[in-house]
Amino acid sequence: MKYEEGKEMLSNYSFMIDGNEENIDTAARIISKYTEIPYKKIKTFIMAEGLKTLFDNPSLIGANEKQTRILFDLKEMIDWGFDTYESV
Amino acid sequence: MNQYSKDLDRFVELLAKFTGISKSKINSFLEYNSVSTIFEHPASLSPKAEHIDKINDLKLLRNCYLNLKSHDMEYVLNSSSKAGDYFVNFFMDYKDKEKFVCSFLDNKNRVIATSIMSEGTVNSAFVFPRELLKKAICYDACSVILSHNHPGGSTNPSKEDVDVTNRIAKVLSEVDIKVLDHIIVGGDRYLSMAEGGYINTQTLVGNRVIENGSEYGIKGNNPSLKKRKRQMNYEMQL
Repeated sequence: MKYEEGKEMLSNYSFMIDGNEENIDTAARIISKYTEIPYKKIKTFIMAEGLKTLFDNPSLIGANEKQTRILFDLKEMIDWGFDTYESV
Repeated sequence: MNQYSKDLDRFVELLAKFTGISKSKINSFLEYNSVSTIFEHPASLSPKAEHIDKINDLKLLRNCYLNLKSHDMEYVLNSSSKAGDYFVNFFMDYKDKEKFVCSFLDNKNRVIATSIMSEGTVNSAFVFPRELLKKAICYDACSVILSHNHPGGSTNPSKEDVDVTNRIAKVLSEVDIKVLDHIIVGGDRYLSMAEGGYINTQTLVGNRVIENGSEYGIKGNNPSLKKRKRQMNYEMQL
């Protein structure tokens, strides 16, 4: 892991594995269930590019139109105004 | 209908879509309960095991998303010094082989992604402008910063380095994507080709750095920083 001004530098592959394997694994499993994109493909993608990139640019993983819609909706669902309206 | 009602409607719609619980049931529940209650006590909305599992999945996904998001740093590469530091750090783990990487930036010079475009031997790396163009379009990039490392430690650009930069800049300019700089990393040091005046400023945006974050450089034939530094040193000596 690398640091710059006390913060983690670059969300690179090794950094993701170090700190977030469980999160990535869970996210990939759930997203795969909804989109039917293979779990391993999602996991590898999140490790390399990040979950935010997956939600923002589904075309990068080769999602079709239906899967893209699901990913956009999932992001909207989990990003819903909890901070504005409520806190879970 | 106020914003909260609109947002709540959308929430109900999405929750119904992902859990299979009817909208009317969710709406009735929310008349006397909060959205948080659904995630904290899913059984209070629906006692069915399949519904509870799906709500728990969404809650888990949200937690994972927030955890991963909190680790995502936002990098703004609006100056050659920031770009230099960024790539020196990036190449810290890659000292064995020459690698060619590209940072794809949005319109505020924030890094969307940084990808390794090619890997070479200890002293060469090949890069294909076509592949770079494909990625830049996929990422909706407004500009890019190129970088490669010299495992030998030198930061002097070769003729090939200059040629490949200009070739990439030409290809990307066709789709209005700017090549802001090409950083060469050798060990802990770096050289900015834009700052050093190695890159054709007619092709690139410019070589002067402004710190407002909106642009890496400005148009025109401004004297390079290197030239200005040299001038300042000369003046100090006098």
